[in-house]
Amino acid sequence: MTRYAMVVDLRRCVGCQTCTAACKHANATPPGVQWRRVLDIESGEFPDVRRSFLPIACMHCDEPPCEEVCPTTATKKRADGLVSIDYELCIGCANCVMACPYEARSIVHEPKFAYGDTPIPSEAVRFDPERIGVSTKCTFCIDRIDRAAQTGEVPGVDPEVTPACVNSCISGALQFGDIDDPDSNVSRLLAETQHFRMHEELGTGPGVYYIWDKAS
Amino acid sequence: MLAVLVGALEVPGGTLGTTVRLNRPHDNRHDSVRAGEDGFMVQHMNPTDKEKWIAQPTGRNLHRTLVPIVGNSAWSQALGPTQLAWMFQRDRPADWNMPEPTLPDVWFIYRTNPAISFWDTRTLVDTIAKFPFTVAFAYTIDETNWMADVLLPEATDLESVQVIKVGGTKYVEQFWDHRGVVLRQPAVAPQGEARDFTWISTELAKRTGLLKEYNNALNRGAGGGAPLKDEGYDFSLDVDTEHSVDEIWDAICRASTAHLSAGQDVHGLDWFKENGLYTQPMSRFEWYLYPTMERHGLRFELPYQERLMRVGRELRNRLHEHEMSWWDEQLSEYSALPEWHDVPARWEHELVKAGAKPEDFPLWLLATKSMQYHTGGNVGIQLMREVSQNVRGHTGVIINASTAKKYGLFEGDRVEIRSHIGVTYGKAVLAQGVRPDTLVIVGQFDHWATPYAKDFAMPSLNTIAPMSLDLTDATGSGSDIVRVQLRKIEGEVQ
Repeated sequence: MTRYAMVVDLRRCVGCQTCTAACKHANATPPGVQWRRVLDIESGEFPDVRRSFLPIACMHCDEPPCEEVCPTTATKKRADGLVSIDYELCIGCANCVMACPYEARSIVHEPKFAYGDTPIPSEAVRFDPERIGVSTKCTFCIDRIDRAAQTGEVPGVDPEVTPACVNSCISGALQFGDIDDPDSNVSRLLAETQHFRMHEELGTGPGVYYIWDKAS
Repeated sequence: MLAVLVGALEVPGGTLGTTVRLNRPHDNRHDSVRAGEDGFMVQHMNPTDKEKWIAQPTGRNLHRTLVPIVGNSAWSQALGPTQLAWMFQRDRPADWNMPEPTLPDVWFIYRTNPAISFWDTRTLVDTIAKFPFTVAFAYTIDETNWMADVLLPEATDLESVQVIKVGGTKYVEQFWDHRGVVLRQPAVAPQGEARDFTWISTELAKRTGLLKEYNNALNRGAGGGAPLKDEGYDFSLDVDTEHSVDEIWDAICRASTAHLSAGQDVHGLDWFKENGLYTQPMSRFEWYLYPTMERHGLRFELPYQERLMRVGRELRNRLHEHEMSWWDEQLSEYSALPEWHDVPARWEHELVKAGAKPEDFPLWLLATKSMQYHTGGNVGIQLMREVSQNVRGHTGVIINASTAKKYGLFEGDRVEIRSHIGVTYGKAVLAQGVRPDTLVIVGQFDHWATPYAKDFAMPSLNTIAPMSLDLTDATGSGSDIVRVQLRKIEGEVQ
């Protein structure tokens, strides 16, 4: 089996938001919609203060709460671990938006462009009316993953079939791959480190792992 | 000095010796390592001895006269006394015994917007407005080119051609395993009337009768990459002919690859359009200057910089010989070992001198760079604006949470930040990771002409920071710091 997952090395993230920008560019998300972003978190009190950066997006859960509440089966859990949305089936009811504990989903009800009502040429070319009035979120760049089956390339290894955010990361904080393959880059990385998944107590089985230290 | 103390002179990021910006040859800092008379690495400082000191400034920022350490390369003016040229247009010290600076006959602006990115911007704008003739390369209207007589509509980086050196250049790229050149080529056609920078430059050279000089400069390597003619290759351009953008960059591509490969490979523009970049392996021994210094038997200058002390004393003598003492405070920085200076007191003295009370301006306001906006050229891009909002401080002025409480401020409250010369407005961003006596503004804003950015309503240090000789350091520069008072205001930020 294959279970694609993302690994975020919190020791390496500098909060530059390059992944945020790369995602917006790769997926042509409208202004205000960020399928992924990096939280800028402060802890402690002056002068004993720490600043942490936490990349967040859809966790592509094993037990996605969004799938459970979807009345039209638009949201599906795939066999390879990706949680997908069929825009043709989605009715924009927002049940999934409410159900997701990671605030990963967005719904846009009318076209939005960078500079007012008129799209700039690149927006006009890439505008997708199918995305209006439906739930959207990080897809792990699903088209790239699916291309791997045709090309024989390996997601997480070959850039053409790897999520745009991972390719863009300036510090190598983001890694992607198959955690069911013990020899994959992500499996090896997880074996060498201490890590957590966000809100693991909710039983959602997130597919994003956060490394915070080397193995004890 | 700190690098010396912790034994980290030559580690990634270390800056022992030379940078390629100030030294020749500019494409390899190792080749710039030479032994000076005293056994230290030679530094091409501006002369301070009696015979060679340049008493008559050759430019409005006085860098050859006043700032020995920046040398006299194309970068020297930018690295040092950028504000003197602006400051001395307005006021000059009483014992200024040099020619009074004139307005520039023609002022060229290329990818810079000083009308918002300098200190005391209101006064600066008044000065710019007096310039008799201003030519601006521009891909959008901004606060400076608003006053231009001629706008040259330059294509953006995504619409134009350039060959850029990568690896082995300086600082971070100095520590790469490869060095070479990369092609930036148009992703889309130029919009509207925009033209490639190379096309505009060639056209300007032709119309002003400087085509021969322009082509000669290109042949010497002004386009970057490598000289177009060197040992083993010759791709030089005919100096009397107007060349197209592609012809110029094709020659630069060929020369760069021949130069990098010692003549083994020659690739033209078409090859680069397909392949993007050309690199050669770079030895890690080239990361550090130490092996080259050792080979030349050079002494380490740090930590006791007697040469710096000497040029400072010489410069003091030269200025005093010309009955000028207005640079004395700056000259005190030329010491062999660092000395303690009461730097904060300089700002208090500035307030008193201006007739203000330091206690009325109890907080420090600092400005810091923004990774997202870098030097500000992308401030009008919606995507950058959006993602920057995820980073603390990009929505207003950062205030220590305890300080904010004393002022009755909550997150997002509108505040007035006032210095003794002006006022700026923004929203409070509460944070723990900032000193209680310090406010911080990220980036440079206060646009009033640049599309999109002019609607940000962000506060600006530049609007309220003074430009004065008392706050100028020995390089002729200053700091993004000003003493301010703070208060909550009602109503919308304008």
